[in-house]
Amino acid sequence: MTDQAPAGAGERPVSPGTRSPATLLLGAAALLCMAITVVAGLGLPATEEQGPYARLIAVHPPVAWAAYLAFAVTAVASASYLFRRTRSRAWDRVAAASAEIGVVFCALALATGSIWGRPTWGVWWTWDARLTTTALLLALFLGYLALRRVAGDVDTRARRSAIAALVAAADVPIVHFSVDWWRTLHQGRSLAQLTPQSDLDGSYITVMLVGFVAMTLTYGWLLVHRYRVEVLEERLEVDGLDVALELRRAEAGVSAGPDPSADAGDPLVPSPS
Amino acid sequence: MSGYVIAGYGVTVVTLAAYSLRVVRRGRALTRSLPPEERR
Repeated sequence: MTDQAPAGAGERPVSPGTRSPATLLLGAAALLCMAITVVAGLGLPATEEQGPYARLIAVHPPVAWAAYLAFAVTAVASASYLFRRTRSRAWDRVAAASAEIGVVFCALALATGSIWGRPTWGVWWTWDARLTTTALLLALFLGYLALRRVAGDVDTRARRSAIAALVAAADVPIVHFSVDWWRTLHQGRSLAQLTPQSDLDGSYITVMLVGFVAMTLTYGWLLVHRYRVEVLEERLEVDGLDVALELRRAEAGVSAGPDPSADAGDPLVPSPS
Repeated sequence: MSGYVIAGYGVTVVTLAAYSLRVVRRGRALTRSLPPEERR
């Protein structure tokens, strides 16, 4: 996922290919890990406390983790764009690509959480601290994606979006620690329970960790491909602008460059023939 | 096997597969818009 074009306004981004051996290997690894997670997760024994529903531990915490990861990458990339020394259009593209992937994973975390909550809590939704702050996180990053669609100069859009991303990402630690800070229906942080006195059975922890790996690999693969889409869209936006300018010049009867033999005058006003 | 468990796994796998397909197809469609010498 390299961007060979240097930073700066007006630069034509070079489209990176994605069929490299590394990305193919990444995709294969993600697919394999995902298959192992599904098979192992569905094969977990039922628990006394939650019966068969505890099997959702293989998907729900991992997709939530992937959302955290994606939004953290967006925040770091946005901060890198805002700092003058590290400013590069590539960081803006990474931020945008990662945010969209994060929204998908965040929505999945809410959906799988709701599916898990229905049989265990008796409700699809409750205004619990963890659920509410996660829903807020989703709304904030949907707002970020909407902000990126507002028309304007590429660099202005990037700067505006970067600030919005940093504000939105401030909710990530709030989501994570909400189960400690407030009395919630949601169980405590899963990884914090990895102690000898843990209530979580070893097989559950193992499958959950495999799920984390699967979702991390899937996120990585998606980031590579979504970044490429970002580059291509920007490229077509730049090319489209060039084509539109050429068409306008042609309509006005003006050539692309200055004619040294022409009289001095308004270059946009065609001379009478 | 509980329907809720199947639904949870199903929603996850189907959503990620559909999104992955959308991203790949979008990339291919955009690549076709580029001049042939610039495609990779």
